[in-house]
Amino acid sequence: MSDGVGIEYSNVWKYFGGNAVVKGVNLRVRYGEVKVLLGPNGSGKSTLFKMSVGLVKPDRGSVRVGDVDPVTDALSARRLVGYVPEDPLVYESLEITEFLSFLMSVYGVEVSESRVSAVIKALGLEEHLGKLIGELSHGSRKKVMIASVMLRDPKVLVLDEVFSGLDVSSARVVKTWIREKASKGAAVLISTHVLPLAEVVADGISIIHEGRVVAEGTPQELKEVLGSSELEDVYLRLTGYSREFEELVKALATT
Amino acid sequence: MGVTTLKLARYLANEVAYRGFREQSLPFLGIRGRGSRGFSGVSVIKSNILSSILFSLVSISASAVVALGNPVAYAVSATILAGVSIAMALMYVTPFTSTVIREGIIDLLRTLPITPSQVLKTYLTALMLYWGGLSVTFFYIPYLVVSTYYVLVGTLGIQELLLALLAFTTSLLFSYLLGIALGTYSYVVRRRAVLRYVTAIAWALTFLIVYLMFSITSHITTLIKSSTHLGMLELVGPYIPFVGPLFSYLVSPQLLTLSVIESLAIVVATYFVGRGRLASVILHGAEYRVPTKVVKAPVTSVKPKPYLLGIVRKDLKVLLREPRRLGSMIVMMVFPLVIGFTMFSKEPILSSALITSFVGAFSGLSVEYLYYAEGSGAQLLYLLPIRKRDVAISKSLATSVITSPISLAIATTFSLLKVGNVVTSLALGTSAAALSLGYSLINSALIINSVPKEPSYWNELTFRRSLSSRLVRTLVAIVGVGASVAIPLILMLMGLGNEVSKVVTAVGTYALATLVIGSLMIKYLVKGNVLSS
Repeated sequence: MSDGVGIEYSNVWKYFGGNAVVKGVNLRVRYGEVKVLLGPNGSGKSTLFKMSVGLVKPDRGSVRVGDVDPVTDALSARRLVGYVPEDPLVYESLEITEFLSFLMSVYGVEVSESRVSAVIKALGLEEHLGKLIGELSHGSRKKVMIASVMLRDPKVLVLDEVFSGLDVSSARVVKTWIREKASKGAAVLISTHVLPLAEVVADGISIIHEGRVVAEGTPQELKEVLGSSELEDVYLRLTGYSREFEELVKALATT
Repeated sequence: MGVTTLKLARYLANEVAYRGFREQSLPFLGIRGRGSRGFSGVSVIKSNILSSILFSLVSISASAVVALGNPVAYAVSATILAGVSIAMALMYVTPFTSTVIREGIIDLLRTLPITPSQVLKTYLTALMLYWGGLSVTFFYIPYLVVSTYYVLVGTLGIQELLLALLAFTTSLLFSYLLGIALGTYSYVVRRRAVLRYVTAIAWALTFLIVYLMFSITSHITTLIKSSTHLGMLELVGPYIPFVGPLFSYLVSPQLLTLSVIESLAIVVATYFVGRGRLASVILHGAEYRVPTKVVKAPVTSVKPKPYLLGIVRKDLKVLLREPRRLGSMIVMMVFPLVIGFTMFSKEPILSSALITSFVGAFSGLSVEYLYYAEGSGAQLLYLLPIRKRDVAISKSLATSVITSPISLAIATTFSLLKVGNVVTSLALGTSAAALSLGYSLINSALIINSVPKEPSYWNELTFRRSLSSRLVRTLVAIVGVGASVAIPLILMLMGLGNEVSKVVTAVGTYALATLVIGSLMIKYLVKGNVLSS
């Protein structure tokens, strides 16, 4: 895209079993920008993310990553995008280095020893070298997926629930990496439920609820428009949270 | 047994079945339900009924020998039953125990407010009742009932019956305990190459024993009914664990005592190993599963290979760490020797041609095991920039890396023994290798078109869902076997059964044609660019 847009969803609709799970979403991430997509479970975030690599096709509207339409050219989209799914997809019977070698072979990426060392060290995976991935925790498996994207260094990043399962230091590393990538011109779209992290890392936030984008802006703009000092309050108000829920759980806690 | 244990056992077996459903290690012969996603849980009846009937039939078939009142025939038939039941019990107990530990299900149980002995009871109840472990006893029950009848009518001695009872009890205990111990070691097996290959060969042998035993049990009567002498069995029979007493009592009381002590000692030793391993896992949890020393891989080992080579390398690594599927592949390669060994025995070159074609075709068809070995990792393939066709090609190439050299070796050796000519044998061996690649390409082109379009686990069940795909692949297998038999048969009918060069040319042409067809199918039949298309 010559207009500096890395990822663009234009009036995207998606139906599963007759139910619309994505309803006319418009979303744009420019190169050099980090956009955070916030929303409750089942709001359509992962469906949108999968569209970026042609894994899910929109029923209406269009998706573009760089100059590529993932619907018609999924192979190019997958080469262009660094996608980390919500649940790490790995080969449990491979060791970390074997898994990374396989992925780098598929992407045709040559990586230097120093780069591999740096990524492995930064994500705290050193102690797991030599183990089968099946022996690693969920968080460590996620780190392996993130490591594969870090090694490739793509221009477009789509990171689904990227902070979930990460320990504090790894979350800091990933946050720094995301900001650094954006500062060097990458387009980054992430989703997370960790609002303080979202607030720190985001240039722009989109809040999605029941398949629709219900608010968009910088963290500051969102707080100002809704007259709140906390992003959490903004989020809860826009996603149908009710104080009644708190009363219900208070009643449950009897001791 | 409390209701709680029964309920917990059912939950446990269900959980193992569900996890196994993704890995295709459901109860052997358990009826597979058709739930919303093809899984509907286990029950005592579903997990035991089919296997109990089948094992009873084998048992009844073997018990035909009892009427002869021939103690040698009785000992041999009991040996066969014991052998097949041990193999079968291992096929039930080992995967169950392995899944309970590998998937951390044992840890779920340990979080409940129940004692370790209740955990043990739950595990055993789930294994025996809900997983079908108890059905293995049906190898023996009808046989023992028939034996009891013939003891009452005076055809069989009470000693034989009691010794058979001892043999079956010790065999069962041994196989259950060994299965438990092996199951707890599955993690170690996955980590150590030597153990993986040993396990793969053990699985292959287990499958072969089951195949062979099922097929020869019904022929026992005709094989041995005329003999009342032990012959060679006098030398080895008494020392065969568990069934040894049935032979040794025919030789001497001293040898009988020795046989009984040997069998009991093996059971006691296995009991301590099995019980010790299981108790440790129950007390310490699944963490106990990895008593291996981890050797750190250097980061320099992240070395990308050229695109297709990288995928083939991954396919091979994944398969070589799946001993059960590797074992199945070995069976596919060795099985043709078993079934084709006696055919065309009067025309050595035709016999060689048949084995060449059989080994090539069967080993090529085993490409499906590379798809099954993908398991949960297959989901990743949907996200990567890999063409669907390249997945099919990589599976064929990875299969051929294993099967082509073995096919070449088997066909060449067999032909050399039969025909005695090195050049002819090598020509047939090369044809077997080419056939292996050709059939793997054909089967791979068919399988890849039946993969789900959504990111999915790939296992045996994944590829059984599409009826049309199953039918086409079955047809290809029939054509493969048919052509392998038809070529030597036609040559024989044409009177060319001794024309070595013509037979070699015919087999070579068949191999070349298979390669061409396979390549064309990969090029033109594979639909869609990526797996999700």
